Amino acid sequence: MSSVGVFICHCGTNIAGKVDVAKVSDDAINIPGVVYSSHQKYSCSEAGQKVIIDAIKENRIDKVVIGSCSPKMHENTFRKTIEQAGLNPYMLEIANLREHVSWVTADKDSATRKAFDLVKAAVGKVSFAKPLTPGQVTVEKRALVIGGGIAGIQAALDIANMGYEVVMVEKEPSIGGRMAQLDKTFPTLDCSACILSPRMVDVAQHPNIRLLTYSEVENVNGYVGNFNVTIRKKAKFVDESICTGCLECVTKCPLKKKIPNEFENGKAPRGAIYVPFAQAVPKVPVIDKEHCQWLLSPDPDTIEVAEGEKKPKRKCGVCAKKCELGAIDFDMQDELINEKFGAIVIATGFNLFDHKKYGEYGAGEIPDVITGLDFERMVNSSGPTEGKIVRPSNGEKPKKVAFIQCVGSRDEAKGIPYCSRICCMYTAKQAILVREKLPDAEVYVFYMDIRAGGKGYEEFVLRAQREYGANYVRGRVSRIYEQDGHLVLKAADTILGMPLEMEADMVILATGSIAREDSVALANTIGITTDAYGFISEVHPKLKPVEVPREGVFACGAALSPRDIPDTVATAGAVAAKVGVLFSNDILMSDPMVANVDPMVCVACGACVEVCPYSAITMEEFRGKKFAKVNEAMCQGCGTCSAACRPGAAQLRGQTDEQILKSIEAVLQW
Amino acid sequence: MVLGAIARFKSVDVDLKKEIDRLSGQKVDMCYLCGKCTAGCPVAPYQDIPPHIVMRLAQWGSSKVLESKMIWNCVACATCYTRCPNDVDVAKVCEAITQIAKREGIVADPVASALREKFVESVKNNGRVHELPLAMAMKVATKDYLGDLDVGIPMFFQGKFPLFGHQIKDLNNFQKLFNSKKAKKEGDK
Repeated sequence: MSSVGVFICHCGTNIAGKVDVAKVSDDAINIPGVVYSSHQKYSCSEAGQKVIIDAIKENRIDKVVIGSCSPKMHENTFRKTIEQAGLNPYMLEIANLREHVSWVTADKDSATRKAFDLVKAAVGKVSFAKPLTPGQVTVEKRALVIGGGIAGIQAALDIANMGYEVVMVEKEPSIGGRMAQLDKTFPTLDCSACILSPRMVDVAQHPNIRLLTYSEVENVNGYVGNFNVTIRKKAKFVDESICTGCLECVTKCPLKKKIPNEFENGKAPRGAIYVPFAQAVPKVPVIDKEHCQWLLSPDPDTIEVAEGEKKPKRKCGVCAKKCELGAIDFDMQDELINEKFGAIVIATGFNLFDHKKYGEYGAGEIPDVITGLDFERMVNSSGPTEGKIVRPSNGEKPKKVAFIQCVGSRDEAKGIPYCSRICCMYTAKQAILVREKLPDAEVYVFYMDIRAGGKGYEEFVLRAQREYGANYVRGRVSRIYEQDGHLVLKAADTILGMPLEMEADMVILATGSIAREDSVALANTIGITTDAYGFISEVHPKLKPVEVPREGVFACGAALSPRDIPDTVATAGAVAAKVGVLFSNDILMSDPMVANVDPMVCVACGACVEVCPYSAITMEEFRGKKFAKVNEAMCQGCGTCSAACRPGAAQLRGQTDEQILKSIEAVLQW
Repeated sequence: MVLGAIARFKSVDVDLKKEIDRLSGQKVDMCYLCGKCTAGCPVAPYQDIPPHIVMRLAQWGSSKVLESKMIWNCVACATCYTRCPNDVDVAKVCEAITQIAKREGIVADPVASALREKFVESVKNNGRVHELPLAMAMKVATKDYLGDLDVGIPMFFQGKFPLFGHQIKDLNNFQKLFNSKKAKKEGDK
């Protein structure tokens, strides 16, 4: 018979306010097996822990039940506590009296009864607990960074500078991400490309970083320290090892004015063979197989023609003829790369809201209504208009420019109730740029509230108003329509309390940021969760802001939530620090509460092998007898095998059938 | 209605606010006063206060809102509701406030109020509206016998004011709607 000690925590008034802790503690001493029972104000405090340690030593307690908050909160704290008292840390059971009782039960009597039931169950369960020891796993000291925007670049550089190997995977042909598309950055107005390009080059040249552009993560297996990742390297049809980036092929592609360039937000064309922008890293063109005439035309070898007739030739192929080095290889195939990593960093960034959902703003059909990103490209000297601010409809300089904030932000009716955080600032920046480039143009900004919480941000918005003369009008625009070559805005000045109508030549919509369309799929691949809007969920918004629920995986930047460049860079640095902490261990302790198959009971039916979501169970043979075996390092302790096992051979340590049945029995009997 | 230079209310009148919420089926606290309703409202330019100020007064639970003309002249086109980022049906809020105002005996726009009454009366009698008696009833109610004749006479000759109205087929059944217990209860309020 084990001797169990019960400790009930008041948690201030969190538990004691609803549960009669003294009564629970007094009654608990009568539970069979309990030799000691007490209650105290804060068990997790240093004094509280000392009480527990002393009681264990004095009363020869060998198993402990603590009635406190959720085990998610303090299970580890108390495991360390009882370890200090000389017990195995797994001889502990926590009865969750806060989240499961006091916070959710209104009536004091029933709360007390429920609390006592949970304590009984915990005593029953712990009396069958067995001492466990953690296993050891080695750490593969290489990091995978998914996404090559400023978040990924910063994280990769920081990790690489610590001396660890990094592989960066980028979906597009070049790294750089959203920041590469911007012209200037707020609140300092320094040129985005000028501060970003050196870092892009650093990534390309860093001896510890391997860059895989035009690639995507397909599959992730394994566990912290030992992830097995499959990466699909899409065929570029250009041999990177030969190409020198002369771009002769790009200039000769017959489709070079035909396909909208994604980098320019579709406002400028590219060819079927292209580099997205001039400062691209790596500066190696790719062939877009959806458009390339050679790749789309049928292979003559596969066509059967009547005798005497000529086989049709493949179309085009100009780039291959122009390339003197012979770097173009139309037979290139997608490549699957399998590699091992110790940590994974998600830095996949964000998308911008599609303003087609706003019928009242023309649903994208009015040419002079453009988005903030369109404007960034327009005002950029390497953009479609070479930096000239012109009306897309007729190419003339606008005399009156209106900005509309919160398009696809703070709009529950459109499904996006959150604030995108960057739009107030980038609109102020763009208002300044308009006034700088076109001093004769009037600027109106329709806003609801200005969110300028950041270093120098509020001053920046005031500068736009006071120094540059941008006129701020408080009120959401209700409708935009075209009339006599102008745009008419139906708006209101809510401070005056009056509706107003205004003509403008050009309207720039401050579209908010949304999660990438493939973020949920990526989260599923990695085995983590997203929030309701598709952003990656962190473990704790305040204390674990870059950790995600799967150990060894971290996230940074706008993949987590909308954020600006300073915050993105800060979280990227934080991720690098976390990866550094992980990689400073040569060996990690693995959780011993994993599944285990008793070979003497196993009938080798194979049910567990099939249901295991982590592929951690295999069939083994020993002296002619087959049985299932769990790879304890890969097992995540989900318990699916235990539920599937008919003879009861697969058991989850710390949650055995024996323990569960005993805890149910305890609730029903005593 | 004149708002005055100083808001005289010292605290939010929760009862009035809740009554507006109940009658309209909306939550006036959902509104964050962006003014998009005002910006799109076809009648707001001709009113004493614009819709978003109606919403603000409703959030205060201020009885000032009962004196507004805006609530009576809302044509319930629901442009405000269509474009509202918070899905607030401002037209329903205005309608709810008119109900309360009427109960309190405050009718800021007697013409609009009379039109509603006579319209419903006409519908009650015929199952649908009969324009000519409605127009005549309005003349009597407002004692404005010669107004709008420049529009009314051409409309009469265009056949827009038929002499004989039509009744719907099952009028008795239809009228039960008005005589139901629930309708009477709401009417008494």
